[in-house]
Amino acid sequence: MTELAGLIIGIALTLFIYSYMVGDNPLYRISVHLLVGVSAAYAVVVVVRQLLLPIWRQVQANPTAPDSVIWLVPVLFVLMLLARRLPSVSWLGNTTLALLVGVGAAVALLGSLTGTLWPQIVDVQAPSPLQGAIVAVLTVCTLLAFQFTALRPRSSGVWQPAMWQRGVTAVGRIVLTITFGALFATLISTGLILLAERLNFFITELVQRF
Amino acid sequence: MSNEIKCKTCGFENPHSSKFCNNCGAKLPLSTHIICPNCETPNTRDRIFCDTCGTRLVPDTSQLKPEEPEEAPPPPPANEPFSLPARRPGDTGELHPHAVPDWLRTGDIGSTKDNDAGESDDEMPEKKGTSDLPDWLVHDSDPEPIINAPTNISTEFYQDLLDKAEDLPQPDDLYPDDDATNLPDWLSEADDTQAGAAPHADEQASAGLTGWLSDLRDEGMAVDDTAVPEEPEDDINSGLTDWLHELDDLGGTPEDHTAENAAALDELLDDQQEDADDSDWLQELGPAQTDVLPLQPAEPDEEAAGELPGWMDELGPVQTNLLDPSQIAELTGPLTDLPEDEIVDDEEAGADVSFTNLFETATGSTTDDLPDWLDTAVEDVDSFLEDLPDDSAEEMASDFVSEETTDWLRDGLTADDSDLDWLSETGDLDVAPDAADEITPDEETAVADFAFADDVAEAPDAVDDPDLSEDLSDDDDFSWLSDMEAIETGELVVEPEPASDEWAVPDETSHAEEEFLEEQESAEAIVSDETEDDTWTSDTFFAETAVGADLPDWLSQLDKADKTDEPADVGSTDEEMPEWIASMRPGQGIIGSELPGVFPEMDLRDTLEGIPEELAGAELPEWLQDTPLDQAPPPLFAASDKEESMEIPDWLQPDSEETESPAATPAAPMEQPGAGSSRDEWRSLLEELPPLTPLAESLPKADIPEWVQQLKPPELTGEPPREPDGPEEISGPLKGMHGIVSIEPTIAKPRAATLPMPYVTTPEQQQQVALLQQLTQEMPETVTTLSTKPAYDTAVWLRVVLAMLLIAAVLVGLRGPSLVATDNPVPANVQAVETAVSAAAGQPVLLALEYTPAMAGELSPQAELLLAQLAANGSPVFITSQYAAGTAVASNLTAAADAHMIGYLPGESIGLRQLGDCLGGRNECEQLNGRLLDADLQAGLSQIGLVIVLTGDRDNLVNWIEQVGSVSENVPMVAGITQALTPLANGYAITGQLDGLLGGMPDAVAYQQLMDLPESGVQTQLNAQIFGQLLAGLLLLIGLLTYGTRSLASNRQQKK
Repeated sequence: MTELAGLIIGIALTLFIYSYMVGDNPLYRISVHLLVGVSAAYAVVVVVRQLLLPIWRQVQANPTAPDSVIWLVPVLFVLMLLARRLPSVSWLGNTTLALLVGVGAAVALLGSLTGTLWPQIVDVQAPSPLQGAIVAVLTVCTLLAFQFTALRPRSSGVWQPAMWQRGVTAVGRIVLTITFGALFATLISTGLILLAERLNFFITELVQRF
Repeated sequence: MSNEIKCKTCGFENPHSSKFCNNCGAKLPLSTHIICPNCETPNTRDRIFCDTCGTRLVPDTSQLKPEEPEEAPPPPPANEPFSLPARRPGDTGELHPHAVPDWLRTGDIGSTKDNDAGESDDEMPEKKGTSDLPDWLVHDSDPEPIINAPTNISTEFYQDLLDKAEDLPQPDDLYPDDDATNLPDWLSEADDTQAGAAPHADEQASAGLTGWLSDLRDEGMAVDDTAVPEEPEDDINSGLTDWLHELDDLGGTPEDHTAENAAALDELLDDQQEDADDSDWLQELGPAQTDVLPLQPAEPDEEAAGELPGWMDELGPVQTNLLDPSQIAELTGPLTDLPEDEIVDDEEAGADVSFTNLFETATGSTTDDLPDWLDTAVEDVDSFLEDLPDDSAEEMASDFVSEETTDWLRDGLTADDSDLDWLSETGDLDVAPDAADEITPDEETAVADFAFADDVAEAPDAVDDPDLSEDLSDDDDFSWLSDMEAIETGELVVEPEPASDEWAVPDETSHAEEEFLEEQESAEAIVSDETEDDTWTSDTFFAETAVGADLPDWLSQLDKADKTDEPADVGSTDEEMPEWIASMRPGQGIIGSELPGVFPEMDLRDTLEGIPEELAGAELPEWLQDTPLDQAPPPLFAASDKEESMEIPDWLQPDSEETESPAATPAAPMEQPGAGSSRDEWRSLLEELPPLTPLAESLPKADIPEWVQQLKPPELTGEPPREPDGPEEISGPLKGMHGIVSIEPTIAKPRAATLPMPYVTTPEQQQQVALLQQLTQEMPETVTTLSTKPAYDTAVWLRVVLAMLLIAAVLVGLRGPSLVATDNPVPANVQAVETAVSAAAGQPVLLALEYTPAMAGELSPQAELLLAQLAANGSPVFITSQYAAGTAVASNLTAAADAHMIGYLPGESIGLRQLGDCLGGRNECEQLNGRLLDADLQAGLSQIGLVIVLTGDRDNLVNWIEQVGSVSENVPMVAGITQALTPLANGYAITGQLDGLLGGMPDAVAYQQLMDLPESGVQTQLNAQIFGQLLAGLLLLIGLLTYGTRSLASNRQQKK
């Protein structure tokens, strides 16, 4: 019964979400709010259960241990971050934010350099030089497509890019269009898969139960 | 209009009469107002008449023009304003040193001011420059001496004098031991007249007057009453001279002019008088300056009149020529007919001098009854005679009467000439010839006195000259002169017999006129013995004197008399003139003739006599510099006239050798040494002066700077002139000049007009502009709502239809025929996944479920396939997720499998970085993200042989590749992703960063077929996807054709 109720609620919320095909409606908003609320609540429960409680148990078990005492630092940072809600002492949270952003940026930058940029440059294994040249040219053209500077010749007086610039930009825009088309197609595919999975789930469950 | 003067230093506002700031003492500028003499209203200087009362504020120059005496009453003598020479006290650079009084030369006025207790320089520092001046020459409120004031004196100054009239020097101040009775009677009369005394005041005043002065007063009053009846103020100012009248009319008051006249007279007398030690002359001048004060209290005091001190003593006999009763009985003429009571009144007036006494004094018979002044005169004469040489002693003794060298007479003459009050009064007499007809009984006494004086002065020669008597029959004015001359010369002793019985009728004017002629003759007869060579006539006098036209009538009539005389009578006419009048002619003038107020255009070269020419004019006032010094100055007195020289006082004797005859001038031996020594002294001083060196030679030659040298024109430097720049101008006013900038081409040069660059805006820019205008200008009527109506609006029915079609396609795919191919080759990436999973068999595998239940429909089939393979390979699975919901998905997937839950992994890249450090045996991680790891977890993480990441998020996949894959390079990584993320993950798969890749449902079906796993609904979902994609493709094609065709049609229409 519980599974049937869950199945019905699931089917109903799924239909509410699909109701967006006819426009924004309360059913869609209700389903979206439920999804966001349940997801946030589930995240809080997961964080408390799987992150805070284990640490609390550690500190409670041996409060004087160095591993427990060191938690005062993050606790202090947390309190300082909470102080941002108080205008008079909001400056205290700047330290925590600076630490988070700084460390995160540094890690992300290092990972990008060592994990994406450098391997993508070094480890590219093109099948042929021609293919590699095409990839390189298309890449350059795609990058030059985002050049927005232009010249204004006196003859026409109209701001317009140079001829070569317009050609490169056109090639880059074509590459981008193809890429975005492929991505959009994959999104459609993903959506169709999800729809099919849901429909298959409903049909299967309903067929099995009824 | 403000009446106050604002101090420029402190801003304090001072009264208009202030010359110094009352707050800080700074000198104030002259007031810009002219105070009305009538109503005291301050008027601006541009006003001629007062704003309040209409009184004239500036003198009317038109009134100074002479008029015909027959048509209107003669105007008063021209009294042009004069400026006294700005000479500091004691500064005698232009004067003969001996001609300056001691107190002026030495600055020591102890003789005149020793009695002024409390006056010191310390106490009154502001009067530093005036300490050597008499008090009456110094204004109390002005530290500057009055003699310097006329150049800056304004009406305010006189107003100030009026306001402080009490502080003005009075006769009492000069003679503290005297009281108001010091004033002469005629002045008292003036005061009484002004004060509007009772009708009987005339009698009281007449009692104190001498006869001739009483006559003068009465005549004056009569004239004023008859000729100018509409001006009663003339009565008030009867004691003033005519020119003082005029000054008074100009806005000043008699008090105001007193100090000015005194200063002028003082200055001129300083120039003339050589007897510097005779400081009495200043005291004797006192009455001359004070007798014009009509406000002086002049109550007749019999006791005081009995002993007149000071200058009044000396003037007293002239004014109180009273006779004792015994002598009255001897008198003939009009006095014989006078009532006895009137004569007694004169006696009661305190007169103690008679003509008999005068006569006796002159002859030296007795001086017991004489007053002090006559005693002094006798002593002076005696001493003077003793000092004279023997050859001239007799002449002096014989002409003693004409010497008129007694101090009182000389000073009196000087004073009178300076003030001319009595002289002007006499001048007024002629304006009313008919006044004698209207003489009232009260005035009979005065007329009698007047006639008596004429009678006394009558001379036998004059009586014998009927022509002259007839010519001058109209001049009754000179009768008083006869009185004067008679008194001076002592001719009273001659006591001429009455010419006829007509003296018994004193009210007849003709008698007075005839007697005046006779008096003239008698006076001239005294001096005519020595003046035969004198050809000077009144014509000459008037011709040489520019102010002759301005003279009063009584002098003008002299001119008339001269003109009517025959040429043969010229000499007789000249002789008939009183010698003291004759001495007024230029070149032989007396002191009074040089008074600037009376004869402003006199020849002042006489005053420069004895001054070296080099110094003359150096510091001379402007009015003195007009006199040429290169010409030999004429003799001060006629050298040929021995007798006139004898009559001139010693101090007036010329000191020039060229113009003086030693034999003819008895006083020459006394004067020559002083004059000669003075000249020699000047010459010696000039010779001792260093030679004059030109200024240009005495100055050192200056060094001209270099930059100035460069500016020197080439003509001076000798350098060739530079070639002019630019073309030469060939026409116009600048012809011949080079380098002229042509302006014509600049102005007339045609130029092409450039159109402004067109600015093309795109529709997006126009929309942005519209939005910006909406935001800035708040135009609600043009609000563009982008969200309410999209650019392309699809009908709801259409969308619903499309949705139903899609659902139908999916349902067809789920339940319909299978379009999934089963014999397709396995993709390489799928094969790599199977290889990696197989290679990690038996080793712990880290499975990251980085997706939420929303993506579970696509990724969960992959996770199930991989978990089945891992379970088949016997690899322990450690499950983690950076999504909170991912842990729930993981729990559902690993419920039946042997899996170790690491749990939630926060921190994204940072958490993954720390996790990556724990993989591959690099580090023994006892904790992960603060959580203590148990031993199994620590061992499992260190032994991880494969990392499988299942995600549908690009960032999550990149973080795993960058933070974990790049760090744990020896740990292979396989990714199971959604089909949408496949293009992005292919790049990492190509580079080898991903050892295997399962992209979407197709790769999942391929991996199932590769691994030969049982059907779990993956192919059904893929079949549904295929139907859905086919439908989507079909709809996209339909849409493309529809909208594409419409767009092309619209574009063609726009082009057409």
